[in-house]
Order: sequence, then C-alpha cells, then structure tokens
Amino acid sequence: MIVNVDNLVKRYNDYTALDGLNFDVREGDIFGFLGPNGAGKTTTIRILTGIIKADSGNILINGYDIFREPMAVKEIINALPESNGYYEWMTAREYLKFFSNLYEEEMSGQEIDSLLEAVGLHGKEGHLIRSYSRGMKQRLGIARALINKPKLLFLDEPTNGLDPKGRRDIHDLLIDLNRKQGTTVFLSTHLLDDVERLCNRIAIINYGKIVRAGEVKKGTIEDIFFLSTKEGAL
Amino acid sequence: MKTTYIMQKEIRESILTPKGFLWYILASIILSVLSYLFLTNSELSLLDQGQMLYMIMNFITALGLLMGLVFGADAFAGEIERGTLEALFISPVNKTEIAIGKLGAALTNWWIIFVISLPYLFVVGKGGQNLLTGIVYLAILGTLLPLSFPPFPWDFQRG
Ligand SMILES: Nc1ncnc2c1ncn2[C@@H]1O[C@H](COP(=O)(O)OP(=O)(O)O)[C@@H](O)[C@H]1O
Ligand SMILES: [Mg+2]
Repeated sequence: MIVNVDNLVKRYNDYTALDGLNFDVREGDIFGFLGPNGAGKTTTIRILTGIIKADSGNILINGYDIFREPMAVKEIINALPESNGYYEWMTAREYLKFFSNLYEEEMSGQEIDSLLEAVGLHGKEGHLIRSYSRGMKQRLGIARALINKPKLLFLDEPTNGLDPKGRRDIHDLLIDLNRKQGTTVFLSTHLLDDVERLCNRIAIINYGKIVRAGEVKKGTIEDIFFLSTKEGAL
Repeated sequence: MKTTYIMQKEIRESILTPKGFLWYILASIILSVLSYLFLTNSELSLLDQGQMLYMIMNFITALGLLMGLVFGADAFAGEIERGTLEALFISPVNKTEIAIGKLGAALTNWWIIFVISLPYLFVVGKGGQNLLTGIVYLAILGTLLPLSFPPFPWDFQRG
C-alpha cells in the first residue's frame, strides 16, 4: 500500500469535514477519489500532502508518517492543487526552473524542455504563462508536479473547466505516466467520465466518510455513484 | 539557498515591475519637491538644518513603512488569492525559508528607498553635524521596518 489512511478526522471550527476516513491506495493504481462538491476531497488531499493538519487519525505514505516525516513524504509525492494559480509573469521555463530549485537536484535547461515537451507544451516553453489557455496551464501544472519524478501524484479535479479536447489530453497524459513511469495517480474528481476512462480503483466520499470503495467495472460507475451518495443510502 | 530563490522570485514579482518603478519615481519626485521647498521657501528656510533633516527623514520613514505594509499585506494574501501558495507548500521548502525569502525582498525594497533618498539627505543636511547620525539612524530604523510584517499563515487554509 502506498497510501494508508486510518480514521482521519478534520474539523473546521464546529464543522466536521472528515469524519473518520479509512481507505488505501495500492502502488501502481490510478485511484479515483470520487465525491460530490463539498464531500471533503480537497481537505483530504491537503492533509495527505502535508499542507494542513488533521485533528486525529493516522496516515502512512509509502510507509512514512505524513505528520512526523513530512519532508521525506514530499520528496516522493507531488500534487496539482485544485484551481492552482501560476506566476503568470514567468515563462513556462522559468516557472519549472523556479520550482526545480526548491528541490535539491537542479534541472538543466534541456531537462526542463523535455519535461515541457512530455506534457505537450513544445514550442511554448518561452511564452509567458499569462498567454496560456486553461488547458495549457493545467498541463504546465502537471509538469511542475513531475519535477521530482514522484512515485505518487495527487491531482485535485484536474479536468475541471476544460473542454472535451483538454480533458482528453489530460487523460492521455495520466495514462501514459501511469503505464510508462509506473506513477501511482490519486485523482479527485466529481466527473464520472474521468473515472470511467482512467481509474482501476475508486473510493467514493460523501459528507466526510467513505461510502464505497473497490474496483471499477466499466459501465457501472454511474449507478454506484448515485446509489452511494444519495440521501438515505448512507 | 532555497530562501535565496524565494527572495529572487519576490524581487522580480514586486520590485522589478512597472508598479515597483512607479513607487520609486514617485518617491524621488516627492523628495525633490520637499527638498526644493526647504531650500528655497523663505519661511521654511528659517528652520534650522537639523529640523529640516528631521522632517525629511520622517517622510522617508513613513514612505518605507507604507511600502512595507503594502508589501507585507500582499506577501501571503496575494499568493493565497492567486492560488500559488499551495504549490509552494507542496515543495520541500519549509515555511520559515519562505517567510525569510519574503522578508528579504521587503528589506531590499527598503534599501532601494534608502539609496534613493541619500542624495536628498546630503543636499538638505549639507555641512550639518547631524547628517551622519541621521543617516545611520534611518538605516537602522528602516531595516527594522519590515518586521512589522503580518504574521505568517502557519496553518494555511483557504476560506
Ligand atoms: N478552510 C475552511 N474553513 C471552513 N470550512 C471549510 C474549509 N475548507 C473546506 N471547508 C468545508 O469542508 C467541506 C469539505 O470541503 P472540500 O474538502 O473543499 O470538499 P470537496 O473538495 O470535496 O468539494 C465543505 O463543506 C467546505 O465548505
Ligand atoms: Mg475540492
């Protein structure tokens, strides 16, 4: 297991956003973390990536306790946050250079360019991010999240707001990454189409609880989703 | 080292911009007008040199404080608003390194204002015995100014 979440609880003041979450992610999975808006997906990802603290529970990422050894975890994971912003005044090259500097290993100009090419931004490396479309920015965000060649990549609703072509590009990119590099992908989404195309395992979260987890059988996901998230089915 | 990269980014983001330059140009225009008035206006030139120096130093400090506040207010709030802070936090850089980098940029800003104001201080305080004390005092005071920064959002959460 590359991710092991045990009885995770997170409260915002009086509101319990995560109410005893339990689930695992296996190495090599494209894991779909599915749930309606406000279910607690972003909160979970922020805790798993060490951005915010939890109130209680245990989390192991590749065997490391995220609360005790956050730096060890950060070396092997990366994430594309929900509605990620960019330093729009930088070029794509400068953007990747800046973030690669924050890792011990610096990337050469050539490595940066080939990473940009890998996400389909060839020919746009020297353009200001300001001039990028939404889909291009999202691909740049994924490139940034690949700087440290993570074993585990978190993506928080990466296809939100993209047109069908943009979504398909992201899908293809993630499938490629999973097959060729063996990267485990943790994908949060509320779009069933993402899950159908990408994921081999899912967990469905609703009101801060996992209501369903398991393998994905093609063509059944919509039924499962509505059955497990509708009121009364909890 | 990581702190240096953060600081460089901050300097490019907020100092080496048209807006940044506008601040500095504005500062030198106001300082020019002030010095000109001190030296030519008959009533004001009745003030002794020490008083003139004191007034112009007050102005520079106020300017530094104002810019420091603008800087500080935007340092984290701006990144949260534009959604860029989270990617920083995911990188293996600790929050102290980020905070020091941002503080370093704010200090750089102060030193630029200080250097801009030096010629004016010399012109207004020329020959006076207070000049050197004044300059040293201003340098120290200004260096402490960015410490008025708002506290770091240690428990990052977007509302
Ligand atoms: N910083 C916060 N302060 C208070 N409540 C929050 C905060 N962040 C999220 N919430 C609440 O927690 C719940 C889960 O939010 P979130 O994790 O963003 O859900 P999702 O990503 O699944 O849409 C929501 O009801 C949301 O309003
Ligand atoms: Mg969310």
